Amino acid sequence: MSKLEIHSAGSATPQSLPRCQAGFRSSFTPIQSAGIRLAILGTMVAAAVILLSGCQRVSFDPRPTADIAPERLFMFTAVQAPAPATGLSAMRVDLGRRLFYDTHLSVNNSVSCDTCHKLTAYGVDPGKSVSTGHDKKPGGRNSPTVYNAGLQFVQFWDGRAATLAEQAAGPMMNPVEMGMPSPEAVVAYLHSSPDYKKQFQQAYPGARDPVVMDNVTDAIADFESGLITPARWDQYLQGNTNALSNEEKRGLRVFLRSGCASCHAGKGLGGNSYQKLGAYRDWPDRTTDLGRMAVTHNPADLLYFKVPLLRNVTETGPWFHDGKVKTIDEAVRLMERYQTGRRLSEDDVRSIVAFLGSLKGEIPQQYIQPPSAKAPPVRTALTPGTSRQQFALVDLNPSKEGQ
Amino acid sequence: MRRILWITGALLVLFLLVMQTRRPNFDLPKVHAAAGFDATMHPSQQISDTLHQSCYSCHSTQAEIPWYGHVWPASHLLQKDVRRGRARLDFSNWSNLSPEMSRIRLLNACQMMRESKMPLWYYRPLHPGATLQPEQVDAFCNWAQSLPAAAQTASLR
Repeated sequence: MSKLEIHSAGSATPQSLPRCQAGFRSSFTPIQSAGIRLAILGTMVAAAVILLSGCQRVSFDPRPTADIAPERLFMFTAVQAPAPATGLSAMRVDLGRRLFYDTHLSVNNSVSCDTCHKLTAYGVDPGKSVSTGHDKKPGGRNSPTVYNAGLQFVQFWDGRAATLAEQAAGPMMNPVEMGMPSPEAVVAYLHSSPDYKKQFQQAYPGARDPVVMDNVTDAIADFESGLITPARWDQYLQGNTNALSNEEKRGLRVFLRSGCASCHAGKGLGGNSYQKLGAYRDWPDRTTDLGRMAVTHNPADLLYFKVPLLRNVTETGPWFHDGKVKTIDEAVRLMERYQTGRRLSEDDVRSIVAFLGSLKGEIPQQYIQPPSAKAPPVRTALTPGTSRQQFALVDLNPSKEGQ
Repeated sequence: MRRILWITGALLVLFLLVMQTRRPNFDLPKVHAAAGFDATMHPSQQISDTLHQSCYSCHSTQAEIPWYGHVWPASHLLQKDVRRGRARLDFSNWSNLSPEMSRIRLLNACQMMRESKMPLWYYRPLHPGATLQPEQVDAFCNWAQSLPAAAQTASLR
């Protein structure tokens, strides 16, 4: 029964009422009837309040594909392709690129940074939930992209590295990933190559011994800092309203309205905060991966992760920290269900995914060109099958090796 | 007819009683004060008071849940508001934000206040003291806009 019908029932003649309403009126005194009406009206008002409480909307131009006013997009910032490095900086970038591709930085010469962060595949290990390391054992989390990683405020899913340089050392020494026994072992390998030594001396002149771990990670960080991928989205932010299709503009609208931009904002559309997985609704798996709590040991950090970047996100699947989400549509649906608590129609999901496609930039093919084959090091790391302990024994004690 | 109403009423009461077994999960862990907005951003006392008074009920782990907040269906609605509120803006966990995101959230809060979208319209009648005065909004917005823009927050090196 609608509100209108209730009101009209009061003034209508008994003859004109439907049978149920006539019977309804006849069983109660006028005071009782008024009380019941009041109760029904109260219920309806309460229901309206409840329904409206879930309908907080950002007031945009109501046309679904209208451009969003720039002042509404203050939370985003366009990026530009970095200017080509020059001088010392260029030498460090070149050195970092060479190190990035060098499988000798793993214990059995089988894995490089590029193995899990393929630069030709938007910096991830495409199709793999988690990458496998030097001995084919699976890693703990999905390999995040290295593209635009420099835009992030911390590195790794749990933010345990503050800088790109600090991050670069992590996988090398991780027993599951590249498996090097120690920083000294990495340096010992690089020392064994006259070519590398020369390159380090050129990139870090003045140092008595430039082949040190800090310079290794510094050079890799310099190279990775250049992995920025401007996209059509950046053109849109800079005022080119034709840079986005109508579907993408609709997606942007849904993206803003549904609360995605609360966390996916800034230059990278993410990468600038920690957020709890399951902020709105409890995430089902609360024990396999503790998130940032494993770093801080603070129970309040349970299931907190660094919010990932959305640049190139359509190309970096499978998604989430564990790589268990196989499609971008599903990733969007899960985010809405567990993070924002907004229900999206399939059209909305499709539009958001279309918008995410506008964040896809060009891979800088020239910048990521692997260095030409250099003279191999005099002493390479050990052959496949060699244990980390053996490696450490040999490489940390070069004098013994020669005996 | 009267009997039908009695039965309906009894069923309704029974339904409400059964629904009380659904306990709300507001997810309000204890967070160290050092991680909070006041300790991180050092706002003036006036701005801090404004935010505590008008925002913290939904946007912090210091939410004070009224008695009816434990009674279904109010508990369900309150849980939605508190969890959604904290997902979007959590003053208790400000150290989880980079300078870039910190500024974005504050400017966004300013915009929501200026457009009278926050506090929520249905929250205000229940909490008259939470309604923001224009001068409070101005003070907050001026402060938020005076914060240095995080031109490059990433630690590239």
